[in-house]
Amino acid sequence: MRSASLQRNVQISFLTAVAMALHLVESTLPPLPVPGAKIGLANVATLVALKFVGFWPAVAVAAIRSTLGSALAGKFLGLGFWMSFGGATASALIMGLGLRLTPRNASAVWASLAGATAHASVQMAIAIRVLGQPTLLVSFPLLLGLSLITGVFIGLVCDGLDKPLHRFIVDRDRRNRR
Amino acid sequence: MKIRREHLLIALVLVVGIGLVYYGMTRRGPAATPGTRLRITSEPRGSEKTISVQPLVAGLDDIIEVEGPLGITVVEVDGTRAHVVSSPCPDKICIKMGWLERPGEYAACLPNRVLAEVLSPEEQ
Repeated sequence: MRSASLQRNVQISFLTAVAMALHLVESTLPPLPVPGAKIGLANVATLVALKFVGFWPAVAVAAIRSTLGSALAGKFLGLGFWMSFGGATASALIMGLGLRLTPRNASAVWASLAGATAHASVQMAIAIRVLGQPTLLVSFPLLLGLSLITGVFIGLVCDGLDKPLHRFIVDRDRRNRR
Repeated sequence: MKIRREHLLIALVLVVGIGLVYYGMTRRGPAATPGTRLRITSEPRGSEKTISVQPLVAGLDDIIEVEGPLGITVVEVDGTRAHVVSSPCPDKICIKMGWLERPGEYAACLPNRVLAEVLSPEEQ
C-alpha cells in the first residue's frame, strides 16, 4: 500500500475511533430537556475530517461511526440506525459543501450550522415518512432551534481545535513528504 | 481575542436558536375545552392502520393498549389528560414526552409506529 493511502486510512480509522469515543462520552451526559434531542459531539470528528483529511474520508467517518454505533447498541438496520445514519451522512455532505462555500479563514461554525440544519431536517423527514403523520412538524421549530445552538457549539469546538490539529496532522504530513 | 464581525453574527444565530427553543417549549395549544379528544394511530402487525378516538373528560380513566410492530404500547387516560406508560421501543421517547392535555400536544413512538395526539373539538 502506498504510504499516502495508508496514512489516509489511518487518519480515517483514528477519527472514527474518536467519534465513537465522543458518542460514548455523550451518552453518559445528562440528556437535553427535549426527548430525542442530542448535542452531537461525534460531529466534531466529522468536521475535523472535512477540514484536515478530505470530503469523502469525512463522509466515511460519519457513515462508519453511525453504523458501528447502532451495531454496538444492538439496533443495526433498525429505525434508530436509519435515523442516525441518514442524519450523520447528510450532515457530513452538507458540511463539506458549507466548508467549500465559506472563505478559508471563516469560522467552522457556518459549516457546522449547515450540517446541523441538514441533520434535523433529514431526521424530521424520516419521522414523518415512517408515521405518515405531518402533525409531527409542529415540533420542528424546537428541534431546529436546538440544532442551531448545538451547531454553534460544535463549530466553536472545531475552531478551538484548529491550531493544535494543524500541528498534529498537517505538519506531520509535510515532514513525511520531505 | 479580538472580536470580529463574524463572532457577532454567530451570537445572532445563537439568539435565534434560543428564541426558537423558547418558542417551541412555551408555545402551547388552546386550553382544553369540553369535546377535546385523544386520537391514537397505530399499525398492528399484518393489518391496516388503526385509529382509536377517545374523549378526554374529567373523571373518565382508562387504559388503552395498541399493537405495533414491536409489541404493545400502553396509554393511560387520566380524565382530561393522557400519557404513554409503557412501550416496547428501545429509547422510550414516547414515555418521556410526558402528559398530553392540550390540543396539538402529542407523543410519538417511531419504532412501534404509534402516535397519540390531542384533538380540539373541531378537528376530525
